[in-house]
Parts: sequence; C-alpha cells; structure tokens
Amino acid sequence: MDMSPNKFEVSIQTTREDYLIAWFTALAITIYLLEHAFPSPLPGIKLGFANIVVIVVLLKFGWRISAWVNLLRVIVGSLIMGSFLSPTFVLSFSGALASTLVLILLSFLPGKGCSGIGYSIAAAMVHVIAQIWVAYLFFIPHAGIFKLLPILMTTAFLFGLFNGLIATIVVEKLQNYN
Amino acid sequence: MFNTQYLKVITFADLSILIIAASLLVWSYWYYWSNGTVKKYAVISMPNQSPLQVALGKPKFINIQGKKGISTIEIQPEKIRFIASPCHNKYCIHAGWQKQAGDFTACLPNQVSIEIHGQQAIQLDSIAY
Repeated sequence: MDMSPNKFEVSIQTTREDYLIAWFTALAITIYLLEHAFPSPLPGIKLGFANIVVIVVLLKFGWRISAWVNLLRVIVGSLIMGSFLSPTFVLSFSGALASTLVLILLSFLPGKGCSGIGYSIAAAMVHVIAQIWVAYLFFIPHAGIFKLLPILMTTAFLFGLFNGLIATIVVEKLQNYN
Repeated sequence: MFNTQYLKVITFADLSILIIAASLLVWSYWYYWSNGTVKKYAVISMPNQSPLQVALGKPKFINIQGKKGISTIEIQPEKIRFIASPCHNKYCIHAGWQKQAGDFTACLPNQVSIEIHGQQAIQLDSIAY
C-alpha cells in the first residue's frame, strides 16, 4: 500500500502579504507580552509599544496589513494571556478596532498625509476614548467613569507622541536596508 | 542621541492632529473635572406615600413617617444623610453623607430610603466578574 506522506499533506496557498502579517504580528505580540510583564504605574495606563509595530507597518506596507497586525495582535495576545472574551479583552479589542478604523481613514488623506507621529497620537487618543465608552455602555454604567478620561487621554497623548517618534525613527533607519 | 532631522517628516496633517488632540485634552479636563455640571437631587422613598423629591440646596431637616416611627433626614448643599431613626442597628445613620449620583442608603425596618439621582439614568453600580 502506498502511504506516502504527500497523500495527506494539506497545502495552503500563502502570499507574501500573509508572511508579512504573520511576522509583524509575532513581533507585536512579543512586545505586547514583554510589556505585560512589567507592572503598570496606574491601572489602565499602558505604554503601548506594540503599536509602534502597527505604525511602522502602516507606513511601510499600507493600511491593509497594518489593520491585520493590529487586530490579530489583540486576539492572539489575549489568547496567550488567558483573557480572551473577558472584559479586558473586550476593552482592548474595541480600542484596537477604533484605532484601526481611524488609521485607515487617515491613510486615505490626500497630499502628503500623516507621518508616524500624527498616526500614533490619533490612534492612541481614539483608543482610550473608545475604551471608556465601551466600558460605560457595557460594564460600568455610571457617569463617574468619565472622570478617568482626562488622565487616560493625557497619557495616551504623551505615549502616542513618544511611540510616534520611535516609529518615525524606525522607518528612517529601515531605509538604510532597502 | 535624538536627531532633529527626523522631525522633517512632520506634515500639516500631523500638526492638525497634534493641535486637535491637545485641545481635546484641555477640554476633557474642563468638562469632566469641573464640578457642578450635573444637577443632583435626592429621592426619599417611604411606606404608603409617593416618593419625595428634594433638591440638595439650602440646609434643612425633614421628618419622614416610616413604618416604625419618624426618620429625620438632614440636607446640606450637595449632600444628604439620616440623623435619627427608630431602627435598631442604625445602619442608615452610619452610612453617613450621600453625595454622588447613584449613592443609596436605606433604613429597612422603617422602610425609608434615600437615593441621589443625577442627569444620567443609573441602572447598575458595576458588573463584577
């Protein structure tokens, strides 16, 4: 009997895009997990370094791959952390979804458009605003939750700016390798 | 070291986003952290009568006829509390001042309760997992 392994081999057609998405998502998840290993100074405040990857991918390869990386990062990251489908995940995912939508819209700006700094700040701000609204609508229906918004928006602004600068530098440095 | 040549990539759109984000930030502090934007009032429920709605304005005392006797409630600007009650454990008095929208205290034996309402309809404190 012929039992050659080829008979049972499942082949999936992969494109260059798939590989890019997989590698960059893996990179983003690694940064995301490393960030989780350090305690946060205040609950709800995160540095968001994984978003640097998203911004760099957006600048280098366009919105389609960047959106995949951003959303897959949250889903796979939560599976690894064990928070999949928990309120934490719902908040992360809604923030990622909102920031992805904004990044897609901004990437269609006419003219020179945005650099990494603009993308990063806009995404970070929209991320926290969407999260607060989802938290208010689904988990904590008390107007007091909005008192957190100024603090979260301040940190989002600062870290958005910081991550945007890093993303800009990374993109500049990457040009040496083309 | 940080090289300023990287800042050359900043475009008009970037600056617009920066300005919009910064003004949104200032607005959020002004809007969410300034007091007195939400008008609060207290609703006092009692047996055999319709609930009483009181403004949290000038100081006064209210006597409410409950099932066991008279509960006395003190009102001060922005806050309200039980100060006397015919019940045994006095939990309602120990609950102290009620200040935020959504705060609630009750005297179960006397069937008198106080709840503070804001502009927002309040359904639940929170959902815990």
